[in-house]
Amino acid sequence: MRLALLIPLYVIVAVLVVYTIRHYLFTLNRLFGRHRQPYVDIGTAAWPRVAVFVPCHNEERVVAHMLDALLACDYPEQQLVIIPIDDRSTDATGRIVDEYATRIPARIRPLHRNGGKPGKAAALKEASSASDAPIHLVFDADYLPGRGLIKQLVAPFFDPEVGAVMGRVVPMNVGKSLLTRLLDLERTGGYQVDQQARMNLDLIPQYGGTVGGVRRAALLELGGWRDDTLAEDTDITFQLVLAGWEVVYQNRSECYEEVPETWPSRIRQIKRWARGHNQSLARYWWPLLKRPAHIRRRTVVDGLLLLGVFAVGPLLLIGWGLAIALYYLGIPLSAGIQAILVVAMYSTLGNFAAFFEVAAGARLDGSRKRILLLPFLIVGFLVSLVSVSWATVAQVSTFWRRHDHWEKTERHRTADQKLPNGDA
Amino acid sequence: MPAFLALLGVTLVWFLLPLIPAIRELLRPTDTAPLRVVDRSSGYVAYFARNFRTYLDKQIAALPAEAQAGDYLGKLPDGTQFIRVHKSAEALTHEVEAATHNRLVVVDAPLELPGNEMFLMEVYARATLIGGPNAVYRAIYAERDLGLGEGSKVLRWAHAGGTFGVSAHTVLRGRVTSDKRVVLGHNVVFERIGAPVISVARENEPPPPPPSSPKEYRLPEGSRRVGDHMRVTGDLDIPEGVRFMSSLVVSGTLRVGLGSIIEGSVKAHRDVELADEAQVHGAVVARRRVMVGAAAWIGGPVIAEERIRLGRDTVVGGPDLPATVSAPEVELANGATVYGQISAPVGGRTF
Amino acid sequence: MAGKSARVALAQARRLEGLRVRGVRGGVIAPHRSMVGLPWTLWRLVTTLVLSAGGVVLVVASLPWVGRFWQLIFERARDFLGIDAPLGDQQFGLPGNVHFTLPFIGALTPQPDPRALWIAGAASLVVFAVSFLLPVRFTPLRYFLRLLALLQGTAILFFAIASDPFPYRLTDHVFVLETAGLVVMGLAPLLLGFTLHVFDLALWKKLLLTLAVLAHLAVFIPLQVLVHIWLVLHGTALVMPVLFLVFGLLLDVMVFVAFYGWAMSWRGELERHQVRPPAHLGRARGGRA
Repeated sequence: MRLALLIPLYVIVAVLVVYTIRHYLFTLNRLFGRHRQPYVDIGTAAWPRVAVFVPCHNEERVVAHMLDALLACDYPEQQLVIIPIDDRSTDATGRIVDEYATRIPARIRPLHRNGGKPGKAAALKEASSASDAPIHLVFDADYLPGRGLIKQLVAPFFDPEVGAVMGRVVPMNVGKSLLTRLLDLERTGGYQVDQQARMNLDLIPQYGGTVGGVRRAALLELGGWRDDTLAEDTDITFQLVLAGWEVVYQNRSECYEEVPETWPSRIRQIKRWARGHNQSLARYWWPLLKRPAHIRRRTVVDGLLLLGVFAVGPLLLIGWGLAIALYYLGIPLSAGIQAILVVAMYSTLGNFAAFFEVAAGARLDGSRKRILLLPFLIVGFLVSLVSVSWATVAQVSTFWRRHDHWEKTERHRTADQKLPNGDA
Repeated sequence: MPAFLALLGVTLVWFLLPLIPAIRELLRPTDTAPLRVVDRSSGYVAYFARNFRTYLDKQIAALPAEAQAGDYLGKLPDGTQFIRVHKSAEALTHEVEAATHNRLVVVDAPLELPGNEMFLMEVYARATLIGGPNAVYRAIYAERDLGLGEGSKVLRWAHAGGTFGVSAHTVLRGRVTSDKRVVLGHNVVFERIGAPVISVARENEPPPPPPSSPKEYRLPEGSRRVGDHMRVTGDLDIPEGVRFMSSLVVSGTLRVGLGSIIEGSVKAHRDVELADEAQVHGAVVARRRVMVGAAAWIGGPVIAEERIRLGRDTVVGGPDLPATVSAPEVELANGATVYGQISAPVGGRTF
Repeated sequence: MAGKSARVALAQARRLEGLRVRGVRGGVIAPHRSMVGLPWTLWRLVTTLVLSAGGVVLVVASLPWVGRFWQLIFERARDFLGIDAPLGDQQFGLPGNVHFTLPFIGALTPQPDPRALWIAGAASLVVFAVSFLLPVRFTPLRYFLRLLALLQGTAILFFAIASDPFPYRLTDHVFVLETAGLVVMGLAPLLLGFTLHVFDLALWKKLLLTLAVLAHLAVFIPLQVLVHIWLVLHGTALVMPVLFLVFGLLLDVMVFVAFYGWAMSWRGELERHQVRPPAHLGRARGGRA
């Protein structure tokens, strides 16, 4: 009995140890490794035509800010078309978008969706098929791109191998609550450290579905956006990599976003991410493991770990369950010292890896004082762990029904709210 | 029970002790402002120069009337010491202590400096400014032409509204820009340059189309199409005098032969080597180095993660085709011409 | 004479180099956060290695004193708490002729009776129910209480239905907590080595933090163990699983994280040297150019 519990526990611990090592490697690489941002200095070029898609569903609070920010960008006017996708909004989103289109018809060409499959992936699939611009950028409606951001995001596409580009997401409503402050720290670790380390190490930076874009030729080759997924961003990332394209992360290309301000909103968001990401795990783990000739082994390992990142939550819970069961069965004291050593080492080194990543990222950002909140990250981890696990269990239990329900993230901004003072 | 509560209290307090800074930050936040997303300073090479100009305009506008014209020695409204030189360098030389200028200098009239000065604050010239040899400038903004004497040094940035001439052996730290052209002498060290035309000694234009159409090059077996480009595993040598009609990604080193033409963009996971008179109509990207021979032409940006060397009379971009050359190190031979921008954060030089 | 001119030239070069990173209004122009890394220096490499290795040696060498200190605390606490059980110690030896003893209290582990199970069950249900009554802004607390109640539920279930006796005695529990705590103390200097000492903090700050973490844990671990002992003696073995799994090693790690977060918020040496504008510019007038 004990062995039957120990073997899966060892397997789980081994997986978790791999993730721990990955955290440390990424952080140390970001701190001391060669920094790769090869395209960031392309400031002058014959800029290609770009279509910027802004999927909107009931975004009346934020969509005007977004359009204003895009219109203020320094990208050549004749080369930029903004396509707000009003996906069956029931508020004033459609009207706001139409007002902009009436004022600036050459640059804003909205698409109103009243039927078809709901959700961002389906909206993008429909809208992108109608644009022949060679570069397709995507922004969520709550984002606030700065003046130079479009050029920065387009620059990597001069590299013919680049299929997708991702910029850095910066929360703008940091001070609203403990949650927003914790999410700000998490984003810092995720982008400033994790994504940039992947870029440095030539692994798989993830296209995150916003503050970035894809090359139309690549999209066409893959058959367009998949609309049967909740994470079209993760999906396209792996499709591109498997097909031989590169995904690029550009740390310098920052854009404000609004992070969830309430726990229920955050829980809905992370559950949606978990379900979408797990869909990609189910789809691409085997094609990746088969390793097409152009993909290196370390890229495969990183890809599998990236795909499995939302499966770690339930795995951790199962591990705890097994550990608790073993605890009740009793650990022989003769093996106690070694067991204690292993458990203590893992608890310390393993649990600490994520804190190290976040703290290092915030320090690189020059935001030293917010690192003080580091111990409170554990409350965010707890909620994420439970939510992700719950979403995964629900997903597995409804696997055969293929019931994918898109849940929109709630917006908290007001239309007349003062926005962060950058060059944005 | 009271004894236990005391123990529990002591334990709790002791446990919370290291958490006090965290709890304090939680209850009395000191760091909740969003990171400031300022995105123009990187992409816009003349950012610092324009910023200075805006600053100075505001400061000078706020000066009293007697300080608005003629030679003047005083302070700007924010307390910065400055000197205005209205007609000749005489006024300036009066204020020189051991040829070191600690004031912000405003020059109203065309001026030619003798050389060996050290300007520790910005120099603003409303007219043409010609510097002497071995001068050190913190930063210069010239509304018209600007010339730097041999062996000069710019520490932060320099901008000219007109032609910007840089004599040999000059060191240009930071950003150097012109609204017209930058002409570099030999052995000039630089970091970032931006201008409609940047050339070493002499200016060249993109070559005209070849008189006869070269024969089309076919890729070796094993290459495959990925989207809009072809992908080749290993090194690839394209022979001389051929034309290739697509974009190309090579997992090893790419060598393009004498006078051959690539009608798309190219990328190599190691080096890209273009022979003399070769042409790439799109971008050239390399994970390591881009080495370009003489009189070659590249239509799009040139990007390398280690080094770029542009040979004699090689041209990047064109009058209607702006482009960027970007690598940690960039070397430009005589006659090399870039229409747009050069970025070499580790160090660029002319030879 | 030559030496003097070389010094003058060096001072001038440094002065000019300083000017390169000053903006129009005297403020420092720091490189953008997306581009910065952490430059190594030989000094930092050496001090990192010395502090890490020295910290481990310090922990190992001080084990006999730590053991004695814990014994002293246990003696005083036993009288103070009125625990009627003998004090024992267990001897350990480490390579390098390091011998130390760790204290324990030789009390029998009280087992729960049905009444205790009912009381614990009711209390768990109350905690579970209360978690639903809390406002949503306390969601993490709601989740924590539910996990706590569920975990306590497993203990109640075990004692209610298991045919085997509970496999641990109080002395085992104490032994594990103490030794695991010592492992954390031993790991702390190493962990600080590659997660804190690699940053550009002043040496004295790194040293101070290492000592603070070790000193804190050296005091906290016996206090924590004594609280556990009292709770088990009065709450029976029924509370041991929750105490072990939630309020054991996890708290030691939290202490470490709290110190680490605090230290990482301190100003680094690079930043400290950047904030002073050169003398001729007077006070810094504005940040970035």
